[in-house]
Amino acid sequence: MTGRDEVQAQRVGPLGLFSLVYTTSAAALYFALGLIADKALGLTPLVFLAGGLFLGLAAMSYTEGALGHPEPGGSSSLARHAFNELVSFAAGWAVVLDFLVVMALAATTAAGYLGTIWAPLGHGWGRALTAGLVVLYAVVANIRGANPSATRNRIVIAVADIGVQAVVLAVGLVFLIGNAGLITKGVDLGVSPTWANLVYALTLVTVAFTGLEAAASLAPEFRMDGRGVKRMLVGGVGVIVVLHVGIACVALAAVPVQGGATALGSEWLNAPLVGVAQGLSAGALGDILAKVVAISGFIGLTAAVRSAMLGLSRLSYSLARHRQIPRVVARVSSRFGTPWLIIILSGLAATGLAAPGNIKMLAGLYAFGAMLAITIAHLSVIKLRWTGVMSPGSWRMPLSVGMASRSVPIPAAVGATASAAAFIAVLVLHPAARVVGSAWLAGGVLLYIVYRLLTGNSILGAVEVSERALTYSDEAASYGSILVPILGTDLDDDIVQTAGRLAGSRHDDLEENGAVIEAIWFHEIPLALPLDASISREQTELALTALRHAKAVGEEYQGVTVSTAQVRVRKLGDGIVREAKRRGVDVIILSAEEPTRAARTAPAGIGRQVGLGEMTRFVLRKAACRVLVTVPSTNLEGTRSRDDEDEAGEAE
Amino acid sequence: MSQPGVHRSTIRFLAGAMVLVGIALVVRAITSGGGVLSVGVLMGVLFVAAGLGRYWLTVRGG
Repeated sequence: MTGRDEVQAQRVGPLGLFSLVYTTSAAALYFALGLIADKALGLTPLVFLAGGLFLGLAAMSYTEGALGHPEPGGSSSLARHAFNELVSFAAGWAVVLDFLVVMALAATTAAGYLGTIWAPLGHGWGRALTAGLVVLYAVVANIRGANPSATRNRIVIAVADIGVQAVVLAVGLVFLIGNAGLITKGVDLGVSPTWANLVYALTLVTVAFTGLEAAASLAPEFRMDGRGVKRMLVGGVGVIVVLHVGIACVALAAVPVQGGATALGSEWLNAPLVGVAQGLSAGALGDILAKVVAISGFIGLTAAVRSAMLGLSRLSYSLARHRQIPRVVARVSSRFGTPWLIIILSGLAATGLAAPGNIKMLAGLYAFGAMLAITIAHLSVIKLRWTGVMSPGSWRMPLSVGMASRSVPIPAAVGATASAAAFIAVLVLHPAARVVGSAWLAGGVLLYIVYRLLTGNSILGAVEVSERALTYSDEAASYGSILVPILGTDLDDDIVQTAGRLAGSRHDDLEENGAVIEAIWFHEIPLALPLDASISREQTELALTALRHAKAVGEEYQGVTVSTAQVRVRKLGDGIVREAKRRGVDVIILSAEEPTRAARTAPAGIGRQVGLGEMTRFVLRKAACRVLVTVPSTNLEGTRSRDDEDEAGEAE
Repeated sequence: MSQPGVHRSTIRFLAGAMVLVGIALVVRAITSGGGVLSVGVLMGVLFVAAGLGRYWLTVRGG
């Protein structure tokens, strides 16, 4: 079993899912607390509480969508089913930005926490270098593809569960013994904090949501019934909210608001929890506590970089499978079963974003992407519910209203309204997010449109590439030249992909061993006309379009060149055989006629004969080279399924 | 005692402590002259609710 098979064989239960969301959410506190406290001041706990409610709404939409359409991709996948490929790409592209920003934020603040132990690591080049090493670790770990074990998940859950309650108890004791009015000190709504800062803080608090996207990307591997969903939503989200609100209360008690500002947003911006530790206890005990927090912060943030990169690689793989980004960037390693190139590219991008160390700008960018993706996710679930396009019997969020014999989920509607308003607020309140975020989105959409047009695909329509096409395969033989007759049917993609897999070599990174696919359109000229008779313009256009598309599909395989041609023949089968001989190709790949029901139920040998048409049999009989015949599977209703595997027949 | 048993017992103990702290917060807020909507009373009520809720989840197998 390969590494990839092992990953696919794993199933994710509520605890594993919660572990993933919790790890990311808890780690987010290490860098988000200072940013949010800087804006929300004394209302920081309430902002975290409001963020928790927002998280609950988003979790419901993501869960209903992921269970109704168990595919990787999160909001991008939901938008694909609900709207179209362009909206799906916009959501996916926004989340790509978020994953990159979270990696950069976590890596930068990881350096900040280490910097409280040894100052050079937290400033200037030292910080950039430390952040780069954290990202490098995540890159290596993600390429190797090792996953957290079930035991680790259980330990994380148990420690988190107990830890959260211990923190909450500590908060209660602080209130009980100390001054109960402490955390409301400095609150003068509209002045300290200002309304604008309060709204901005509310958008930043969603930084915990990358966990949701990462979790939704595991949708195909969910193993959850209704009870598991309830446990995750009520228990999981509840624990995260209590943790965030509790720590915010402790933080403001330890580092209170003074003169309309808190040191959490200035002196301790890069390591806020160390500031809290030092504020809670003075002297040697405070120093020891601060060092423990610094080390745990570094470890937690490093894990968060790794988790975000895992989510990004899964999302990119999904985008590539749907031809929203070039497949080559999501090429999967046959050794580790992971998309190595996208992991390296994302590592470089995250390192670049982390280098300046401007975490306020990064937080604004994050809010831009998160608000857009969450709004699209909510709207997608509303649309899918409205149109009834959900897996039958899948989990549905509570509190729905009936309208014209259809159903509208109120939590998703409330969430969509709130997140759309927050998105507008980000655009208004944060210049960096407005400029950089908009440029990222516009640039991505432009590249998407160009890529779709160049590959001959519709901008709004769905296209899917099989998983095998993204994976180097040990079983595939390599051929120097392959002839593929292009027939202008839906099966063209399949045979070109088969050719691409066979042509691709595991050692073709330098494109020295790549093969040539001869994609040929055969014009059958009736005997009543001379062979050089004119061909209608429509036929020529049809041939050119199909050949251009075949070239785009074939050349997405690394090291493969596709040459195209139009050839006039009397009979298709004869023409294929002659052209193969003339060009000296190693193999011909044909798409056989769809087998009849009788063929499928007949004994294997007979079925092959019954299912193959005259042209295919002619080529098999006459060709001087190998012939591969791809036979599309057919279901009982006689329709072809897109995901069916090809069955290859081969003859000498 | 098994590992899950230790976890469950610890959680139940902490949930009970949260309820007690919540009650103490309410009592202290009222005896200090706080109103029904004072921060101490609200926090106390939230603590009691959170403690009872967590205990309920443990009983239900959460």
